[in-house]
Amino acid sequence: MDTVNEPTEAAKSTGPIARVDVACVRDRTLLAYGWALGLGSEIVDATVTVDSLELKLADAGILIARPDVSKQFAGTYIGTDDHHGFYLLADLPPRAQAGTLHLSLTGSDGQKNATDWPIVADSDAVAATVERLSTTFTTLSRKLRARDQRRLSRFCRSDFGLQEMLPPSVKVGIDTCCVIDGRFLFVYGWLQDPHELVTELKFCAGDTTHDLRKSAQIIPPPAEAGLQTTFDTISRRGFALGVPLTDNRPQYNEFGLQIDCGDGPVFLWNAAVLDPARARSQLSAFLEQIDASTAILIINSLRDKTAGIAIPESFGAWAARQYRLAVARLPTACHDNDRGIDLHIDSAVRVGTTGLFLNGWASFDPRTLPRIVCVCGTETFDITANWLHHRRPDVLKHLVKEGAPAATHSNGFACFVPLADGDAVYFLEIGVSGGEPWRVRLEVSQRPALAIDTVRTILMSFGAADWELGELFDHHVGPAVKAAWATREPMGTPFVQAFGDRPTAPEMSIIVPLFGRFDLAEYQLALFADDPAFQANELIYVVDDPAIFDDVRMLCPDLYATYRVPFVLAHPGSNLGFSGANNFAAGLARGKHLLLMNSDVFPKTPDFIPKLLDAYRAAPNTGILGAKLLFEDGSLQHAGIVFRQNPNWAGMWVNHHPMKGQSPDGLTGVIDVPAVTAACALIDTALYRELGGLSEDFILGDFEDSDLCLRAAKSGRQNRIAYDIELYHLERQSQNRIGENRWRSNLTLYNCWVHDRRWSDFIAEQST
Amino acid sequence: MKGERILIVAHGHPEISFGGGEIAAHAEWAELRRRGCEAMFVGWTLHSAGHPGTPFSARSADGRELLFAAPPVDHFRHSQRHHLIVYQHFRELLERFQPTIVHFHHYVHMGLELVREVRKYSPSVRIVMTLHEFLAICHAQGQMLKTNGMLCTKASPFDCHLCFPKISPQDFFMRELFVKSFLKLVDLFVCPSNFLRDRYVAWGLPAEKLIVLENGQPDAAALESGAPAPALRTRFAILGQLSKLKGTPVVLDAVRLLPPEIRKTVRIEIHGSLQYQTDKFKKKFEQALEKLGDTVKYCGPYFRGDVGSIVRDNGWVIVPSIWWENSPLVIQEAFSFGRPVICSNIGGMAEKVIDGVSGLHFAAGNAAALARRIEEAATSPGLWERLRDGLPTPPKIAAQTDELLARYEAIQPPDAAIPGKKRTAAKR
Repeated sequence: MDTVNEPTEAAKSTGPIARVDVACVRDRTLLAYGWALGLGSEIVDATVTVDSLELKLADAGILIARPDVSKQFAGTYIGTDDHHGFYLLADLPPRAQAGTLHLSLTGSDGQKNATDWPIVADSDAVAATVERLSTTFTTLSRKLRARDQRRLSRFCRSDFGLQEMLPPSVKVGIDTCCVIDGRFLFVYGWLQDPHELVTELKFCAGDTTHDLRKSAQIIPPPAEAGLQTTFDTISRRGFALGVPLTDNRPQYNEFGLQIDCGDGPVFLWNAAVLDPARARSQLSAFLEQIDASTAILIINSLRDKTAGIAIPESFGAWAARQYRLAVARLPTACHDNDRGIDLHIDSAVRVGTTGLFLNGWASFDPRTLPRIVCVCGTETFDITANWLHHRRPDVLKHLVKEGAPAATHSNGFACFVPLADGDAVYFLEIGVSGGEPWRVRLEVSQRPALAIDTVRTILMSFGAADWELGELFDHHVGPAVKAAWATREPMGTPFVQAFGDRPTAPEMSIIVPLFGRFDLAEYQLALFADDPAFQANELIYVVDDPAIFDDVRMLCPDLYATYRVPFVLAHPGSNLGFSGANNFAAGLARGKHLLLMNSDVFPKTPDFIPKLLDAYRAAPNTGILGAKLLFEDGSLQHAGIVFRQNPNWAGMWVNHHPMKGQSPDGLTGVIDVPAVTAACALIDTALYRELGGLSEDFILGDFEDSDLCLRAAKSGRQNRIAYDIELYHLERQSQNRIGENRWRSNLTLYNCWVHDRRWSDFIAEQST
Repeated sequence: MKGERILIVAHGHPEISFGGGEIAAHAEWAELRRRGCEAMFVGWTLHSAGHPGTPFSARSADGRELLFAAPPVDHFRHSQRHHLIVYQHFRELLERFQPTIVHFHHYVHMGLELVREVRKYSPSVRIVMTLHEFLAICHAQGQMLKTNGMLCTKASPFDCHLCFPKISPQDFFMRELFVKSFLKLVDLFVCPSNFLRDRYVAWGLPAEKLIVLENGQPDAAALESGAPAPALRTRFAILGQLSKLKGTPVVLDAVRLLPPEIRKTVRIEIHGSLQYQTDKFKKKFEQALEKLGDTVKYCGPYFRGDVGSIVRDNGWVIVPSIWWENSPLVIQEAFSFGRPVICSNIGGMAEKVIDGVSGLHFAAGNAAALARRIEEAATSPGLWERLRDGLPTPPKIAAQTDELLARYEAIQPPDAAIPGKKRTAAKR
């Protein structure tokens, strides 16, 4: 369309001469720009009519000096006033038909002239027209009052380069401006004002203005580098404004910054993204560009401020995702040589639904006393008030090499953080006075781990030697492992199959758990094969290791066919640990007595079953009866358990095996002992059930035997050992698969701690 | 031995895998058959005849000579991992042949479970086992030669662990318990040497169950060499597998150490196979031969029927094994063909060859000592004749079979003493 405006009817030469250069409508706002010769002087009435809207140019419009018009009509125009031009910006009434602009003029001589001008309404044509006249409008905008300037900027969607009108030291910018879901305005920008010249800084949304100095969140420079612009970071202050939109016309894109440096306000129009999908994606992109720490602050603020308003539910999920993405961009360690802060997390282990177990090291300049808090969703936990330190020679070596001040040898720390919020992400805030905190992400696996794997990770994370063990276990490792172990898988689908005839009411059920090395069962069966007691009693192999179950199950028919020893194969469907496996098997057992037997225990002679039964029945009120156990070289493996305090283990009571490794000579008779090992332990089935079986609080296998013995003792029974019954116990052969020393020994420590906290008073009482 | 049905189970068939144990087992069966006894020979073989659903295949038309392609065993504890082979296939063999005596010449490659299956089949079948080396005691191929090369006198879980650091003492102990749980079912052990018997008794087998009975030799044609004694005196033969264990390198070293004038005089023939040796061993062997020139002649593998002529063409037989040996067949063969033996002074060799009477000893593994013996043998006038006259007469197969049958008959099975329990070949 030709943008050169022509009247629809030739101007009548009888009345005032006029021309409308531009008449266009955008967002239901009418812009008209033109001139009428003598508008500021001879013309007594100038009225613009569009449909039902009628406006007097004298009231609604703005007169503009147009010396060019005077010059053009130098021959006919004799006045001295150059104000021929006009500019009109007016809201159209709803449903107005904006096809034609009717301009009627009345001169002082009473002569009238009325002309009709086409109105440009097509948005592309409007944009082209605005563009064509941009120089004119820029010049014009500098002459307008703030309010009018604002309206023109909005209409033209241009700030007309008005930044130039600010003092040179003042710089301001909007990084993003968008309307979320049509309901919520978010603006993020920055101001550089080193000489503090700015007296007013507002953000205008339609007719509403927000004083940024009052309602915006001031975002200090991030602790970490990585700004998205290159401005001086010290004088630069970011601001973020988030407000619900009360104006019901956000679609008109009437947004901008109003800034005053004492010379009157300047309006800087700013485009806002109005489309909900585009607004979110723009904001997402923006949040990804800025530093993660700032993004977290902004997202938190957005969530706070949208809490009370009706906003689509998907916003919550979007915000949660942005939050996770931002946290994921945080660094995983913090190093700041200038401020002497070094923090490194070695592991952060999710502990069930209870919290996290942290293990790492930190080195701080002693003059900085940072406070570290762990943040999870809306909750925080003060690490520095709770953590436990220990020596880390490796860290010290590293720090010395780096030339960092090593104030302490105890750089290592562990901390149990009792925070959990579903699959929420975690980070640490390292706050020092007078600065924004560092934020350090915790790498926590989102995948739910098997309880035993979590326990293992926690227990592998420290060496036992360098700690205040009591405190470590009472406050950190203990609660963490306990919580992790509590999440262990429940019993699966149990499997029970008898090979050979299963006795209905045997004197004894022999329960042998299999873990890892199931070849041990075959060694045992080769030795049980010629023992008639195994035909009359019940032998239960309980597989405690799902990994081997299929193989064991395949092997069993062959084992029975080869050795003809009847047995029951049982599997609880999952790894329940030594205690759980025994308890499961005890639930199936038909015997009046239970013999708990390890798979690495082998009879020295074939008559041990009747002998054990005789000894059990002969001694009155027996709780649990053990046997003399020998290593493969014939030395003593087990002659009963006594309790001793271990000074190296924070004075906890440990199980001591007297005479272990010594000659078994001279030990005879049935002797009272505080406890015996479950590697070979005979107990009345009813008593076992009365005592509740082996405690499943102990992990894998340790201390649950003495725990059961102590419960028997507490119930008034006497535990004993029959020295004349000898078996081999190739200790720990069945546990070879458990692996590394540290894991093994720290697991023992944990079980020892559970045992000690449960029994230390009773043991102390018994030993006096 | 009327009414007895004898099943002989051997770890190989001598026509397929040539070895002293296999030969003795098969010879016993052949002799029993010659006498009209009901006897069956079952020999293990690595290669299957490919008959689906059975590990057995026939070696003779009457089905009294079988090959047994048992699947691989666990060589640590000599356990047949395919239990079905034992409790189904071997069991069927027992039920079909209905033996009254089962004589195991070994359990290697087949599995100790065979022994238990026989006992399960019937508590009254007499179980006999010939022990060939120390495989039950020693994981180092039953040689009782430590992995560091030292001779071993006593196995213990800890010491065995030192030989095999990856295997724990406890595993060695379980191995011992496991192996013994089967061996205790055996009624009679036949040991071809006192030395071997002593080792097994020391290990814990009950002495009353172990007898010494030398493997019998077939009747040899009484041939004398045409060569005169002085010529024979300088001729030496080595027969059998060539390997480090069998002392092949010791002989080569000894020849190298001989004084030059002796090296010109003596001739040493090496007969045997290198088939199971490494390329490295073969290469070293060839290099050594090249340096030794005409003194040593490698003649390659030999046919069993040629043993007599090989032995008789030479004056001496050298048995230089660096492990104990049990009762080497080659010593019996040397004696059968009238030749004194120069051997290592240990174990079964030292027992069978009396130093200065039927041969000469040298310190095992000591090449210099062997060189001195070779020189002495080649240069001492009258020595060869004196030793030849001192040779024992090796037992013949017929006499040994008589002895064995008498021993079978004398067996008191463990349950014989139980009142009311009849000794019958009862089937389940």
